[in-house]
Amino acid sequence: MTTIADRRPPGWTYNPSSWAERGWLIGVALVGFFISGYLGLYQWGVIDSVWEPWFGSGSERVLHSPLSRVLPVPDAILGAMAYAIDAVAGAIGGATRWKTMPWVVILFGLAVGPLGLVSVLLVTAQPLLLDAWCTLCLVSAVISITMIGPAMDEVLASLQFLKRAKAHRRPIWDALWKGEGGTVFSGS
Amino acid sequence: MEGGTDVWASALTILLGIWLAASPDIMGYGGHARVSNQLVGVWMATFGTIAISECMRAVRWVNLLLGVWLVVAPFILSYPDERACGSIAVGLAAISLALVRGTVSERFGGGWTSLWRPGVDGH
Repeated sequence: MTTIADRRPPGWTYNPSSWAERGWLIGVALVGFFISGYLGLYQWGVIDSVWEPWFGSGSERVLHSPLSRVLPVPDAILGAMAYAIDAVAGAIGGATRWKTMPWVVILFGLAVGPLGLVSVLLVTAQPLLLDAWCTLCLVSAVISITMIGPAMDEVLASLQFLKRAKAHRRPIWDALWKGEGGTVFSGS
Repeated sequence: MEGGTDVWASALTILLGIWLAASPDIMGYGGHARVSNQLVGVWMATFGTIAISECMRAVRWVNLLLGVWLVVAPFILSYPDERACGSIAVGLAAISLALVRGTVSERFGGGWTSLWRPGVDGH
């Protein structure tokens, strides 16, 4: 039986993999999924109009811009897929996954970090290239940026775990996939 | 546990960034100042948001660099006087806010620097 204190990474005052830390991130990712999916359905033509309270035709111009069609799939559909990966990667694993499933934690970080930064790049393109703003695109960007900081603490705990594994001459690749796996070096 | 109890410096930085990005449209100006302020504003608000998390508080140093850019940009890009005053004022405010570390009540096993410091345990 492990105690709450055992679940904390060595030298940490809290457990970044606890459900209190992760649960709301999953919820926020789902909100982002629905917003981005709605915008993507508009880009696909499934929905005829898009909600835009402030910037007039801004959303239409942004969502039908050449930049949004650089890839074969509209960018908001890709955004929705990224949010789905965030939600799933946020949900997999137990409350000690920073040491039991480092690969999921690092996948989670890789999904949250770049998704947020790509959102910001797209937001900067709105005024610079199109001279237009899109309300729901901004909301989606705020959601993805909000997730970055709270997701990164868990990534840090897993990277520290991998560093300790390497210091104990365990192959990093093995530690990444199998996690703690019965070894004792994860505690201090 | 994620955000510190006082994150006012981050909050003000986010507001500065939003103002910077919106001001070209609100005040109706163009040129280099418009492009610089829209770009820097969006990124300043972004890094200000990330820096709310205690383990990412160091990201505020990026906003210090953005603040320095806002102070020197009017000279490099030859802003008109009123744009120069605004850019320098916001830049100095951003620099001041980036110097505020805020409360960090949690510990993170030595933090990010533990990853490249020698030693077995990161603390």
